[in-house]
Amino acid sequence: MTSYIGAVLERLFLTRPEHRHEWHQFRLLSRDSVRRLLDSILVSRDADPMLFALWFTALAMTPPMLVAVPKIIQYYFLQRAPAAMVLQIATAERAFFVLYGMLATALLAALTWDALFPDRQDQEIVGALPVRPRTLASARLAAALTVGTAFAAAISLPAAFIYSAASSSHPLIGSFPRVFAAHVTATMMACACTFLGLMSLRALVVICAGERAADRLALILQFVTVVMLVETFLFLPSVLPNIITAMQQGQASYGWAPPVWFTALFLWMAEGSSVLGAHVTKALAVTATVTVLVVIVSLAPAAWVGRRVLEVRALGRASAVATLARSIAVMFVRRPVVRSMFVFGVASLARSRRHTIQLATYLGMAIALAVLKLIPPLLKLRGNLDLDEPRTYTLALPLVLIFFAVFGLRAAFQIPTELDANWVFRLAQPTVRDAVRASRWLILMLGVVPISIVWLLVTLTMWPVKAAIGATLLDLTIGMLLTELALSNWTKIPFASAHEPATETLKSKAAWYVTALLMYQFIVPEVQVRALQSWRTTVTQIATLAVLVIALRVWRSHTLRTRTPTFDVATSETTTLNLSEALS
Amino acid sequence: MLDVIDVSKSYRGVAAVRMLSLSARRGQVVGLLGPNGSGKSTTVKMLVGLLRPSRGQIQWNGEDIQPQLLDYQRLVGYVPEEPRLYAYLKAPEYLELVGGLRGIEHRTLTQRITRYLELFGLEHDTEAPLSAFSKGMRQKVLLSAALLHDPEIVVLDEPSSGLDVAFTLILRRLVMTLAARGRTIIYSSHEMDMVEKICNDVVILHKGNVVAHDSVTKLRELVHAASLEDVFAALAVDQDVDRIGSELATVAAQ
Repeated sequence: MTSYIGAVLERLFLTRPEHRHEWHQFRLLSRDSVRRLLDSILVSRDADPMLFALWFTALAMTPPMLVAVPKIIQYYFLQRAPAAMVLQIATAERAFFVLYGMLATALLAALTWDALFPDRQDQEIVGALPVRPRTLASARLAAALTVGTAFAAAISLPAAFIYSAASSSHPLIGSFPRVFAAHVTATMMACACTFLGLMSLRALVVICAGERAADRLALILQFVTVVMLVETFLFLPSVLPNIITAMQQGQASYGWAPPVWFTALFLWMAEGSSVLGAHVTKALAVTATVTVLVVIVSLAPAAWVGRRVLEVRALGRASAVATLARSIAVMFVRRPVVRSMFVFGVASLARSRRHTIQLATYLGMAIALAVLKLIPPLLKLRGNLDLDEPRTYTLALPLVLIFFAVFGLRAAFQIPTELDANWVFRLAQPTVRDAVRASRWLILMLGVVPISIVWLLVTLTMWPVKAAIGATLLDLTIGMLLTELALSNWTKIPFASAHEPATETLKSKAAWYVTALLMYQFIVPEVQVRALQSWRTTVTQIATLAVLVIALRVWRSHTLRTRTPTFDVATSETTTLNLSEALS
Repeated sequence: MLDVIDVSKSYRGVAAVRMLSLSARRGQVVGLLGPNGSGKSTTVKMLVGLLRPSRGQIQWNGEDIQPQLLDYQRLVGYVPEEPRLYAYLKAPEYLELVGGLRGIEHRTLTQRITRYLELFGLEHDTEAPLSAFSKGMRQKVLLSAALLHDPEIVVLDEPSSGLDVAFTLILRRLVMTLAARGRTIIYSSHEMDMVEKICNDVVILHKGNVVAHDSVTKLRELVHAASLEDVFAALAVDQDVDRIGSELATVAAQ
């Protein structure tokens, strides 16, 4: 039936055969582009794109649902609460839905960054076919809009339904259809504005500065989005009341922030609140502008961008990083096998988009949680933090960063860059000891040491020299200990072994990770403060940690003597209990 | 007739091809030879309309292809040097995409795809994604994609790369049959033996310039060479092959 209607519409509106052919090309390319977009968000190439997309969407729609569901009970109990209080609570929740939608969509844009517009591969495959560059660009745009809309709908609609049902139980905050319409319109428009705005930004950067600049922008975007998403959950409850009061009083202090405009749209549609009319106008105008802009910047220069992609020679990314790594390896790593794996690891990490994005996510979470430690004293001391000597809240910062760097790198190592190319390692057959040595060097040189050096430079400007050096050495040794623990069951060559889905590992080890993180964030800083009270206690603690590191290394080296590196996913062998035999 | 007239191509001021001229008639197979970096791939990409010449013109039947590029591309079948494919698609899906983009009616397309996959021995690999295909299998898919719409002009860039002996022989027969059916064929390759056997004319490129353009027999006579390989060595090989070959074998032993 649908195809019949489609055919009739085609006959009606596309009267010329070449237009019908172009429409057919557009449909084919759009369908393929959606596949490509889904493929681009895969962390591992072996995963099923559809399954991954479903899990990703389910994960993204959980937070708004978690906020919406308890409201069914909460609004029932707020029947007799003062009107101002109810309105403030409702406004805070609406701001959360809008802000969350915007950040989640920004994350989606960052993840699908490479597949949003035609690239070199598209030009080489489709460019030789009789397809207009604009048709290809429109197909990519349509696919991006489809995925973006589906994602926005998935995070908006279920929460909108539950939240509207909950809101309708209270007479002050709107009827079901009105709140539902307001919720869906405001959140989806906020998502669209973010997604289209970022797409326009990417297209403009590609046009003005080239693909490489756009690539770097993706990393920054990913990083900022993750930090903001985590911060939204942690700090929004304390920040929102101020924003809402300012909004309700018509103050212009938050008028620059896009979430405020879309929250205003929500309130205007749900309650008819006209105080925020100017913000509503801004929301509508900006969404319309970015919609027009994305169409212009992606379609108008399509032919030119396509040709340029083919004419510009592909240059290796992060050449300076790779050169630096090679110099470090020559200076410090004695064994040639370990040195090769180390340099290969640095180049893989620096040049693979999947891996850098994954690491940026870990770093984003680290910064968000590190800042979390600073907030309570900041509030308690009214912004006057004591930075003149080591305190638990300052000591926690490098520890949390080191924690996420160590485990982020370990997680990145598990995902291969080019699995088919790992025959080089299979043939050379390095020992597991060498693989662990290379992994250790990578974690230390890319995570623990740079963080410690930066931290030393920072603390030297604040603390006495002895305290700064002592704290840095403590961080360094505890980072080394964490590295040893992280590599305790490691038998792979970084970036060269098949990826094993980590769902089971995550289930069994989640408690361990959380406990370790809490220790790093709360207990270890306390211990460090005590250790830094005298030079003697500092040295004792560093020595103890160093002994532990050495002991772990010796034990690990001993246990690895007979092991060979793992390249493939272990096949699960089913063990059956032969009960009949046992009974007889 | 396909005419390349004084075509030059530069990338940011660096010349990849200089004042290239060649022509290929219907039913003719023109071989494109040259060492790495000689401008072969750039020439091929200009011939299929992927790149636009910086100077000069490419004409089909006396008309510049650029103003009506889409019409020209409808006539071209192209096998690229690198087997670039959407790796997540299966072979029939990829061929359906290419055939659909070329406007082939669905039923005809399905029949042709089934036939090509059968002839190339890929009928049992229709459920595997292209990422799981070997280089030779990918090459077969690319050949099928290039032939789906019965092209007037066939541009083959290293088409035998990865193919086994049987399919290399089949490829030779395919090119000769296409030429006999009046198709214009540009065959770019490093395989002198194959080029010598199937090409009517040969163009040898060196550092972006045409250093020879004639039939294989005439070129052999001109350079007093026994084979096309000797002609190529005389015209386009700068290196002292014997010395470099010997040194390569002993570098690691020293």
